[in-house]
Amino acid sequence: MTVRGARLQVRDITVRFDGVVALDAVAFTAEPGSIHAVIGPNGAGKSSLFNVLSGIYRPARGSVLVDGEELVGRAPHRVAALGVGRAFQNGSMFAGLTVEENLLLGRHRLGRGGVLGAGLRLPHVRRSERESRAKVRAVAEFLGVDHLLPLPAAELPYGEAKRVDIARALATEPRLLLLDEPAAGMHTHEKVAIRDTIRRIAAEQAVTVLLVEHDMGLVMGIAEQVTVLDFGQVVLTGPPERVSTDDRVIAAYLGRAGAAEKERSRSRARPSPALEAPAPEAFSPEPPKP
Amino acid sequence: MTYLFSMLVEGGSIGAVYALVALGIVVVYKSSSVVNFAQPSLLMLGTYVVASAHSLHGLPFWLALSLGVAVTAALAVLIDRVLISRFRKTNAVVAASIMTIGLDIVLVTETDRRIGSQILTTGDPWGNDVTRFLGIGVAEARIAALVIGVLLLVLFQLWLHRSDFGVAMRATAEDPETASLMGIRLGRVSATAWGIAGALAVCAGLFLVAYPSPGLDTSVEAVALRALPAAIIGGLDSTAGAIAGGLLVGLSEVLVRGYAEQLAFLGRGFEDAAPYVLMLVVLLARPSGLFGHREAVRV
Amino acid sequence: MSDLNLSGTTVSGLSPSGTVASGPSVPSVPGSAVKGGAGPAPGARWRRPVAALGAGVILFAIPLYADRFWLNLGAFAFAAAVGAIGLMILLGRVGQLSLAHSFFLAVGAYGYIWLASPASESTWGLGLPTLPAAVIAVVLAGLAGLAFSPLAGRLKGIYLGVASLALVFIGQHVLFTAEPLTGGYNGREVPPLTVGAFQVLGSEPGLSLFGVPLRQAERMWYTALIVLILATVFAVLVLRSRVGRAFAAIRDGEVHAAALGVRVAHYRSVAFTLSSVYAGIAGVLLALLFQRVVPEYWDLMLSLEYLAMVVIGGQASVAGAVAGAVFVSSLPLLLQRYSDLVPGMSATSDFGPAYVAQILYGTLVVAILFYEPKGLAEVARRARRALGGRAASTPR
Repeated sequence: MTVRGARLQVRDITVRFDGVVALDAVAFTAEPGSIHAVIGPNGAGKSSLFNVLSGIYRPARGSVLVDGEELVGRAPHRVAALGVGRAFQNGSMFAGLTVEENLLLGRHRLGRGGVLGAGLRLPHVRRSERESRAKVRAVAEFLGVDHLLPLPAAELPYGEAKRVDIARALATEPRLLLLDEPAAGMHTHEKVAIRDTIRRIAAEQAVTVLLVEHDMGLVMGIAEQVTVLDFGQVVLTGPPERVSTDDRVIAAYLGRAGAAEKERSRSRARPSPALEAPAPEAFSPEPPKP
Repeated sequence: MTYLFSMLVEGGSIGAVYALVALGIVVVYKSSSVVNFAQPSLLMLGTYVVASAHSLHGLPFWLALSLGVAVTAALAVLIDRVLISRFRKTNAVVAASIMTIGLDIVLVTETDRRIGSQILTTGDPWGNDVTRFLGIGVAEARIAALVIGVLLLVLFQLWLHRSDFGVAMRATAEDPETASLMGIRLGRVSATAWGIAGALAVCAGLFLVAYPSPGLDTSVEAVALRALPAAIIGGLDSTAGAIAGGLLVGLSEVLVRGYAEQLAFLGRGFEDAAPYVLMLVVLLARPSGLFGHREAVRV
Repeated sequence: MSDLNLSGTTVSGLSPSGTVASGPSVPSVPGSAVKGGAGPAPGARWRRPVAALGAGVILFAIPLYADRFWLNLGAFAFAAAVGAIGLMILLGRVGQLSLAHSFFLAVGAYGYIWLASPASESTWGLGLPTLPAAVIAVVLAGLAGLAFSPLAGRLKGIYLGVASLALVFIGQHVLFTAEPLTGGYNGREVPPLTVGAFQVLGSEPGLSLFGVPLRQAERMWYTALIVLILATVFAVLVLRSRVGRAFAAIRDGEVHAAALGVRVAHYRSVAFTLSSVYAGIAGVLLALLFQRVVPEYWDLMLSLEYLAMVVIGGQASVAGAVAGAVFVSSLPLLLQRYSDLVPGMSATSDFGPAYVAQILYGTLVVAILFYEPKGLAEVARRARRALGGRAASTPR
């Protein structure tokens, strides 16, 4: 049993779509209980990576180990059963349900009861349902969304929906929590709140947080390790101080991001041919620990 | 051997007709993601217009046919513009498809009432003659169906690959949002597709009621419905698949009927169920049909 | 008197299930509903049980006043409602279309006939006691649905709809050709349901309630009503549970559902099986009510009628499905009975009741999807609101 979340080892992950290479031999390791960020410009392959990590995409090559258990080749629901929880980029809710029901879906894999048990209100099903509701309330309180529980999820404002989405992922009791751009589209004060939330999750829950993010400020503030992706390849993995001063990263990412802060949301130009991404093995992350 | 050969010709000719109807379903699906369950009823209605213009009002065949094609295509475009277009914004394709089922009920019920117990003929020029063809006797109407059906299919495929509409339809099928950003007018693509589907249905209907079938009666709808398994067998998003599916359905039906004695253990009249059994088998092996593409997952 | 009963039948047909059924979409934690301020007013807590009780009393009292016609109409409507609930779960809650409902209805009906009838020279039969036969027939329908899982789990939405067409045509073929089972064109007698010496659907032994003898029509009404109430409660409980939430999650976003650990294919086939069990129950009831069944009844049009019930009811609501079923199944019978009141319509011309009914509900399907996809369920909700019952908003 891990107390501090799972160790995530990504090795040699390669994803191709119709001949286009979306991820090219991506490798890094996220330590148990740490906050690990993956950054990179649009189209760098961050979303593809997350889709591999939640079992939605099947990579052409490579392996992903969660505490030593292979994730590649499992269907999404079996990846979830490994203890991988995911919050989505746009905070998408199941629109026909209430917030509470959305959070209860996070408890789905931990709950009990099939059609007969539910229809006949068998005792073990009712007990499981009671426990789930209590757990959901606790998670909602932890993230400060308990006042939203009875509301129809479709009516949530964007920012609230993103918090509820994180709560829902946390309700699955993950060992590895995937947060897909948790601060995207948020105001500055909301970003501060999200940053604090992520810190608290990593500090108080037994979970490793893997974070894909656009916002460099947020990432540098909370991540212990940062992996920089560009063109589907790992440019570098290291602590924020090192990443933010690395010439290649500045050239490939920060330079453009800093120069065109306002253009970020519109279109991100591909890096110029001069900035060729370095060969992955030269900058491979620290070797997997035994 | 000649028996098998004559079965194959017969199956091919009826299959080409199914392919025409299925093609209408696929074209609509590709341009709007809606499964048009009303396609068989468009066939019924259009063929009824042709047949009644000819047998009840004495119009010459070509005039009756033009009238039928025009009326059906116009009705199909109207259905798209007035009813189906409402779902485009919300992308409620299940609701839109179910609406076509409602339309099908209304159109078929009304057409059936008008036909009643009559058997109407379209006055098609192929007549009731049987000709010798490579050593077998085949109804001339069947040969006409095969030749004209294949001709239409080939011309249509060529047109789809060359025309602006074909490009727009494929782009829409690929990714409607991007297609729209690129200046493709989704409403127009969809309306065109519906119009084409209506016209194809009438052309196919003409052959379905030609000799050796006695003419248009209320049982033709069940025959026209086999275009749905044809479209699914080929893959709903593949025009080539529609053609393959149509041919397979036609062949399965004719072969099962032709070898009924050997297949007696399946019970009399199994040819009516054969296309559907074939569909289940294909779906078990390939859930997206023979030529269909798997839906891309977007998160 | 009959006019009075007409309104009694239909209105009360809607209300009890209406009260039970809005449950799944309303937050069901008692505390939270009140706390958020979004919950109903204090008195509303009692409104629902009281309304259900009132409606129940009316429904149970109707046989004391109504004649055979209305009791038959009601019994058929209740039976259809059970089937409609099953299809509603599949279409409205999971987003999966099935056009094979008539097939599973037929499995229930003929399963019962086969199990309960004694064998003869020309027909098959096991001659089981009728009550176990009815139960096993329902199980058979469920197994038939389960057997379709390889497709029901993998195919999505409309695709499943077209694939399920196959079952209707295969079913029709079997019904017409397997004469020892189905009696072929001429159909087959349905053994009446009895428990020991008690005829559940007959007149023996003589019983009476407040001086009104409970003969066949009355017993049919009560039997179908009780089955419907049980089926409704079961459905509401399932839809409110973990399983029901998984259904809705698959409908609203299957990839997200899967990422949370929901086994999408598994729950799709569970829903399909559940819906075929409901169809099986309805099939057994219909067979018992018909007393003789013919193959041509269980055709594609029957599937489309059930689809119309669900769409007219609003697709996702148990109450709506019941209301839609009452409407669609009563319409031809009412048109038949009152054909002289509709100008131009007569039972003999081609503007017959069957024609008018089909045109009407075909048009209704189109109109409802066009104007109000939440159907009768939404109309009823607005009416309740307008009448001052501050019912909590019921999103789908």
